[in-house]
Amino acid sequence: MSWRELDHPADVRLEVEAETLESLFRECAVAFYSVSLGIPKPDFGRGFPGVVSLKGTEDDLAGLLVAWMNELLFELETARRVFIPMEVRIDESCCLLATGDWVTAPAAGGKVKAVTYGGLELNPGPPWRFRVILDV
Amino acid sequence: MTIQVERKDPVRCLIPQGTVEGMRVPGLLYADGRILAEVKEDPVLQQVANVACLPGITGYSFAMPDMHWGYGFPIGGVAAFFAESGVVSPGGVGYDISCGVRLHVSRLTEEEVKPVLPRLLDALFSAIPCGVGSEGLTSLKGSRLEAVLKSGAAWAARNGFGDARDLERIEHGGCLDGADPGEVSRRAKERGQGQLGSLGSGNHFLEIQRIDEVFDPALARSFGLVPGRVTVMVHCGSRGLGHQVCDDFLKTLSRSVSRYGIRIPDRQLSCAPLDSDEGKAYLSAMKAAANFAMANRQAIGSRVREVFSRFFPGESLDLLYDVSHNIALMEKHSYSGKESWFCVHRKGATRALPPGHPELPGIYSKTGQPVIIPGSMGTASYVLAGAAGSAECFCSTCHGAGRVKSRSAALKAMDARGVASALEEKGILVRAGDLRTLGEEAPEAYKDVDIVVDVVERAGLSRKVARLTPIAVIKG
Repeated sequence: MSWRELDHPADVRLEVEAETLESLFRECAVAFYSVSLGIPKPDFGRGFPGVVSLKGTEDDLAGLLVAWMNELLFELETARRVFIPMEVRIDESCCLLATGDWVTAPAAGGKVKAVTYGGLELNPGPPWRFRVILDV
Repeated sequence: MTIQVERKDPVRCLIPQGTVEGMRVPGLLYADGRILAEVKEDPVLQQVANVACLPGITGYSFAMPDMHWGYGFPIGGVAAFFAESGVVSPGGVGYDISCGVRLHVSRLTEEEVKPVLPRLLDALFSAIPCGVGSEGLTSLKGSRLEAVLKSGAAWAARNGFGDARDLERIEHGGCLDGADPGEVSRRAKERGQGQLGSLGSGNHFLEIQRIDEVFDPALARSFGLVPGRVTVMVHCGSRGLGHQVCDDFLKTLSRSVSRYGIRIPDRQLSCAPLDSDEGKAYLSAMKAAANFAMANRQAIGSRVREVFSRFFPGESLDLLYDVSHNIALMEKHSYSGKESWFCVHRKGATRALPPGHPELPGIYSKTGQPVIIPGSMGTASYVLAGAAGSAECFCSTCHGAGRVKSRSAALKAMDARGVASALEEKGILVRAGDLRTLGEEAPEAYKDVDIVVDVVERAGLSRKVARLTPIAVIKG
């Protein structure tokens, strides 16, 4: 597992690691769904192809990771769907384009209510390491 | 970094100005030796110091005895900012805008309720949506949602959830003036439109309790609290709508800090001057989310009454009070001998107006404001009353027990089924929307609420009125 929960008294503090920036975004998706849906190793199978695009929402990569996880949260809660990213591209102006599959989620929404900017840490890699607190 | 604190008296400690570079005021912790021992190595102290760095902060950066590590602001934090020179910060309110608690008081004794308690609890569990992804009692789209955001609990009372008599017993009459649904994003509205009338998950709950002990008989009588009788407490907030409002404005305000030349030690402390367009927009959206939260609790309270009336016809289950503990409000306070306006942020802290305060509803003008303090699941909760000493911290007090143990540590100590069995051994029935949450919310994960309440009373912030113990719990 390339992510783990760190100690936090009230919420969930995650540390996610990956060899590349692109795979860090994919691992953050796995960690988010795992915590939110209470599934240790999420495996949702194949669904319908789709994209997630974030443009101009954030000025830095740590903020973009938060925005990415919040986007997954929004779709889970409002459209009851999970995004399985296959390919993630990030350009120099902090825009993200992820292609992958949308899969129907087991429930509308999950345990995570917000991905916060509290205690945010991003150490460039390899390996890339990201720390974030999820509000639950 | 370890933050050094100086003891000021048995229930107050100071973080001296200068402990962290940029502090404009000292930090003031309400803590006795037992509370301080629990938090002395915790990042919460750094957070108290960080808040002291924000522009326009007045007096102290306060932390109540239920303080713990939050994001940006500490949970249990109170900070007041001068209206003319201060800022507003979404992190000072938190994600669950106007998360709060209400208490309904019955004329029923525990003995009358006990024989039907399992069936009553099942009926409440099926009538009130709870748990991860729960959908509300009513769907709100377009103008109906706008009306909720504008009118709060008054909308709920007009639309079949309770009645107008409840409104006097809700903070601000159940509606914050100045809410602007136009400042609430489409995404926030999408998240909230199906959630009105739902508890949600995490630390939210509905509890049936017995009035266990009365500390001030006269005040208890005024509040209708009689030992042995049954109460119902509801703890929840603005659901996904409030979370999205907070997230939206953290993004907006993180850009405005550089525009206004504000230095912040933590991005979660993003803020804007109170008189700026961004600051005003946040306050208008926050008020709309708070109205949603008050309508949410009103809808749940009304459904609780309906269920009770099936078992006990004629039982009115009167509302004692409904109060928020995550909010920022423009309030008038006396500071340095002069009346001024402040934006008071309470994040995991409760307003506690003393007797005679002009903002109190008539029914509580002589008693002081009822303050509802939920304990951890399976331990006591309290009813307090605002006291004159709360003026020191802009009429504030604690909000609950406050966590000390992480969710994973709580689960390691005892799993959900173990927690349920332990509670049932104590005679407390439990239903949970999500079993895992039950384990994470084990009573051992929290501070001792008796100690927390003892500290705020000794500090003169509020007075103990009654202690309530749970007999049945629905956990979100």
